[in-house]
Amino acid sequence: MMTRGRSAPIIYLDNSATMRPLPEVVATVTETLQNDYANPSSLHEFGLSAERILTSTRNELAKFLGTESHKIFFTSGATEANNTILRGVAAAYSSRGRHIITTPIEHPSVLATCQYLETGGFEIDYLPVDDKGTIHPDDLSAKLRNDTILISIMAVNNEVGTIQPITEVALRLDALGSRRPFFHTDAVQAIGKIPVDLSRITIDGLSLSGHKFGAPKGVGIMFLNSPAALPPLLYGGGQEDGMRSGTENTSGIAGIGAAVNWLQQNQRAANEKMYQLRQYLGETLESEIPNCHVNGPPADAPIETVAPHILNVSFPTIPGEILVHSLAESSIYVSTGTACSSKAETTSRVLSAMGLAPELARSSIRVSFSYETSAHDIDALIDALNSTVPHLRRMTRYQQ
Amino acid sequence: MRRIYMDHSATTPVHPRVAAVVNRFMLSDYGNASSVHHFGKVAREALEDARSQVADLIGADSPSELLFTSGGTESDNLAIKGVAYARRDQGRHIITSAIEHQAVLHACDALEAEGFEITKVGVDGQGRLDPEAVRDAIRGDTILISIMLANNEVGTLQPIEEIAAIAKEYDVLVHTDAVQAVGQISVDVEALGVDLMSLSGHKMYGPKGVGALYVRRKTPLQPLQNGGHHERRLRPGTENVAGIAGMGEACLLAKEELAIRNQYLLRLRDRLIDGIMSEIPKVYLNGHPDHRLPNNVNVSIVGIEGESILLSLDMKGIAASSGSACTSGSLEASHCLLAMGLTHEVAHGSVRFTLGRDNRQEDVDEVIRELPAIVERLRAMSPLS
Repeated sequence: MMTRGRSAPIIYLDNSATMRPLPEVVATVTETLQNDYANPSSLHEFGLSAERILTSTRNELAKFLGTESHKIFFTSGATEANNTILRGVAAAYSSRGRHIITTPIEHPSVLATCQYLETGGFEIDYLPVDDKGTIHPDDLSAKLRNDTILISIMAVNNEVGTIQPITEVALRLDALGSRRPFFHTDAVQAIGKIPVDLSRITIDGLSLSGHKFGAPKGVGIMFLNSPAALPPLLYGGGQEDGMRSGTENTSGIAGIGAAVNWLQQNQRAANEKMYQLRQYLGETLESEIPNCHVNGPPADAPIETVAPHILNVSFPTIPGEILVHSLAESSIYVSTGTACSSKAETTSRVLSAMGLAPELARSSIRVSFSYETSAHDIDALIDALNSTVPHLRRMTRYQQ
Repeated sequence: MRRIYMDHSATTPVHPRVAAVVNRFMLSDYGNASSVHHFGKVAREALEDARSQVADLIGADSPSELLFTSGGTESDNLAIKGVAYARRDQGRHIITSAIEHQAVLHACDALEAEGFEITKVGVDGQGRLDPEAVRDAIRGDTILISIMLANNEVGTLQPIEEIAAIAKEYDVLVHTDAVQAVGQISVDVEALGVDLMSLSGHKMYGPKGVGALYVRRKTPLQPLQNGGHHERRLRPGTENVAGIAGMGEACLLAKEELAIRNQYLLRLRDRLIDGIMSEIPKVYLNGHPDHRLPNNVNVSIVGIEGESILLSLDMKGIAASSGSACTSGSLEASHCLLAMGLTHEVAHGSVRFTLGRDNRQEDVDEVIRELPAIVERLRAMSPLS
């Protein structure tokens, strides 16, 4: 918690849009900027020292994800990782087929890339989601074709926190043998929030973003199970084994290393705490505020079925955006949905796909926690909603 | 051991003012620039301030002509592939030079594999292009010319202004990779007349992981990536606010001290060139004596491998390079020096010292003191001499 000027303490609950880098991360990034600024490709000792940062981060991350370090590539973020993988698979596998399966609740960087591929002659199929935002593996089996080359399903939805049955999907695909399509998962909202273990199942490609788990913006991660199979998006000096050219963002990558280090020690406890806050917030709001609905996984959803850091809740008759602004006046910051499309859309594509009534979809807000979020912050949010919601409802009724 | 860093064309130290800005946008103003609330607004303002600072340094008409990217490599890829895809209906021929950075050359190779045709114009012995050779290469289906403003290995400056004027006669777009030039010399996109220009933060005392692409208004460009609405949809992805603000600060710093930086580096550069040429026999200066970056010294020391010299210098605490950092891991001779007509043997003996604002005259003098002994020792051991 911080204070801005002389106003109320700031309570930032929009951590799925971006999270404040962990203090350990800021210290590492700053230290790297100042002291380890050499180009990791340089041959001198100074360059080798920068290269060691890349190597040790890659090793730590591989261990954390249950994989090998040569399968991990640093990018500028998850959008680049998603684009590299989706475009790469389309280019490399197009002789085998042109059918792609995804979901309607993916991040814009997956959906927009699929739409782009559609203009190039690829066929995109979208799996339905139920009212909790979950896809069903049977639907996937029904849509699979001989010419299906790519399946892209996010691990955790960024608006409602639903965990998708990634393991079950992977197991079903394994049964296809040599006809197995490339399986990609956007795990941006999963890492650091739920266990991500690549040693147990076969995932062909995975995308991660630093700034969603306590590392800085401008750095992301691409995991590829068979790296040589895909063409790169960016050509040049051949860094990252030729999969991603460009001088490595050493300080950002060092920041990833510091975040992973922190997670290895603290993730379990931090996630349990966030899960309890989520449950407390959802249950308190539903009991204290009339006509309030938790969207997606319910407030008391078991911990293995929901990401612990996201609660999506609707207060019918009050447009989400009005509530967001009203809370901001009390220095409480939440959002209406994904930041990446918050300008472009009036109702959430994710909530619509879940079949929510338009009134519920229009009146939703997303509260997303960080490792720093406290029970005190949540109580402040509850107090603010308790006074704001009835007030805004009186006003909107008056306007109507 | 006192460390002397003379590899500024590989990357520069981050200026303390830049580090402070980056730190601030991680610690307190960490919002997502797409968020509607206060944190988003602060982040958005930081992006727009930085855009103005970059625009101001390169004389762009409007800050809206700048896109932020992850670095020079992405800017080069976006410019070349972006224009190629956007103009493919008008033609599939692209002109570049033989001495470009790998980001340009390999983006062109990738396009060639997709059916585009690439002409690589050669350079003279000093690494300079003849604008008339570019004119001769232009065809009816030429859509883009991509020539670097300053070469990263030998520092030779190219006659971009003349090339752009010729391109205009034929309605061909011009991209220039100005990664090595911006922050070193005065660069003005209006005077140059280019349509696209690549910049990198970490070559001008900014952070790594951030760059920019200047795109003149109405230049057709197809994005390399799809996603959110960021950067006018031409470059999606949550903006690296801290890095971008850091790059803005680096541009502001460059604007403030460019004239004096330039003068200071010129004096150090010429002192280093003169010292090496007079103290060591059989040494050639690579590149152009006058049309040259003020911080670049590239010499070929006949009879020994550049890598051996680097290792010996490194043991004395002096960081230099044998070419561009991006290919320094490979044992092939520099494509740039070979294109200039150097023999393999002479090309292999090249060493690059690139100076920066933190170098002092005593650093230069120490190199001049240490290098002759290193060369003498290596030459005595070398089977080549």
